[in-house]
Amino acid sequence: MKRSLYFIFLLFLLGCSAQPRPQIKGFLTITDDLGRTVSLGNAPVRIISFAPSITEMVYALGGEERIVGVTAWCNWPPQAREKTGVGDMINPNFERMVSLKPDLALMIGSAPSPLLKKFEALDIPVLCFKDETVADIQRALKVLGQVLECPSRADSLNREMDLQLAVIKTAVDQVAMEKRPKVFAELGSSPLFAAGDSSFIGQMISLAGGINITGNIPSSYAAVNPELVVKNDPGIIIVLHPQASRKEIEQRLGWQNVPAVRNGKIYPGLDQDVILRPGPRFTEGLKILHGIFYAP
Amino acid sequence: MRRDIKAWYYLAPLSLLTILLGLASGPAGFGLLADHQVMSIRLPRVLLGLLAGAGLASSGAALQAALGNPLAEPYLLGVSGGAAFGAALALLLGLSAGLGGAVGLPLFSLAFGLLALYVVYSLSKVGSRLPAETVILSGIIVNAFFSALIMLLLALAGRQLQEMIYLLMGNLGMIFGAQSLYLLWVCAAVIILCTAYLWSQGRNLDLLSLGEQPAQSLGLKVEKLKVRILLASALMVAAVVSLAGVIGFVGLVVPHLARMISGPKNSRLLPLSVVLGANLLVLADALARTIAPQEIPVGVITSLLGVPFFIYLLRRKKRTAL
Repeated sequence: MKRSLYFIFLLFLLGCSAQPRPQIKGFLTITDDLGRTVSLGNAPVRIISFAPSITEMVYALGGEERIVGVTAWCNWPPQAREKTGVGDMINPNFERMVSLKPDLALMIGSAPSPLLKKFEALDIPVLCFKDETVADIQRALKVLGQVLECPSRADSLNREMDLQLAVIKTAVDQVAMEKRPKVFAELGSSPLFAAGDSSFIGQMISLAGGINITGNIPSSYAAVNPELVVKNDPGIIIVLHPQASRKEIEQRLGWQNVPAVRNGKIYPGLDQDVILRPGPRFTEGLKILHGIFYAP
Repeated sequence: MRRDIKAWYYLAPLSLLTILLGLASGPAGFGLLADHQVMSIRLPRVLLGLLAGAGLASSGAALQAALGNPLAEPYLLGVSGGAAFGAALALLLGLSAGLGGAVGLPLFSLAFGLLALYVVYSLSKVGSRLPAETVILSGIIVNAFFSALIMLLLALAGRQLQEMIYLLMGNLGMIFGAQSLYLLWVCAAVIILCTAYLWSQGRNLDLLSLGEQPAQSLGLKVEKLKVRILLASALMVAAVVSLAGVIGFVGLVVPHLARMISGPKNSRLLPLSVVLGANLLVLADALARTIAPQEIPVGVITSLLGVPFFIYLLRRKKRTAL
């Protein structure tokens, strides 16, 4: 009896694996940012986006109807909040993801995540994008344009970005390096968290014409000693987290002579999503930063 | 000359050197007269290092004596776990900024540190007695429970995750806001008063180390003393955790180091532990500040130094036992 149950169970397993795979008609074959070759049989219509920046891109390309799931962090555009939440890449709600029957997952990262491998094991195609530079953003838009069957829309968004980048670059190029403002970007206050040049915000600062005083820290983001801020005399402090107020920063021990504090050039309450998110709105963030750095 | 008195001749100038080294090192450059703004960042940090090291070491020494157990230390009692959970909970509830950071977080860590201690106390109480074995065992259980609760908070945390992790790693770098300076004075008072109390009980702790029954028959109110020692230790640990997070191994290793110099007499052992602990933490933090451009949590350094040192102590003990 027991043995026959085993046998039935084995048959059941065989049956599962012997299911015919969906016929690939060859809608699109793409090599993603991790160098993986991904073939899509049909144009995807049930997409899960695993990053707020990617969600924004899909909306900007007009593909919102094809999105079935988003992360807990996808808050822009506001309608994106109405989509089904699937947790995030660190705490994914895997059952809900699978129950959405996605035909494509869009992820970010520079290495395959455990989640990506789970999706691969389920034969759900995954495209993984890097999100570290402006070039990454534009390449992601281009790829998504192909996936969502609107390449011309992607091209025009990229052209618009190039145009706005050029405007700011022209303005910045006129300022000699030593005349550019020294900027401290605060990403957390206990401990004090700062960004290096390799981070996206590090690149935003230099594109907007500032000099990141913590640019030389070896990782993208790191806890730093408040001494570093005092030593490097930033003329501007941008606060990219909700914990610190202008008053709290002004009262910090030893910060009274920092030029930014002395001259009241502390900027809390900035739209972090626009400035920190490597998405289609980054040029808006760039304009905000440039406006702060070169305020009259 | 008594060995511990001889040690003080070396320790006094050494401590001065440690403080100067602590003040002189940091990412803004080596030097004492660098900039008084830089100094106003380093001074509270060195002060916090001295206080936290002293508090952890003295509570470790007192607990080892009171419980008659060489493995006793603040973290083993579950107090640190409770205090850390309280602090992490305060962070999750958004009490890290403004008034919450100055009052809420330390109160939470004190409340849960005391709660942990109370649970340990009531779990381990046998009749009216407080045997050392059950104290250690229930400490381990309570610590395990609070570790699990901390994991739960880490899983629930969103943007507070980074702050929580740094708190759990032990870090003297949180102190640069005006409010934390105010908190520093409160914690200084707590640590100095509690250490003074523990020192004043040195002779009674010696009696206790004769064994509970002999001590009792010599007129010592054993359980009452134990409760007070536990309470003083818990207060100090909660104070340290709310400012510097969880710093391991200082409370365990330093009293053993001091005992090698002073012998087991508690009135000599305690001040030596206090000074050694303060020195060790300030030096470890000076290292943590300078080895990399980022902040390395000092708790990582003390554990990295403490574990090999503890192994060395164990091996030494084994050799002399043979």
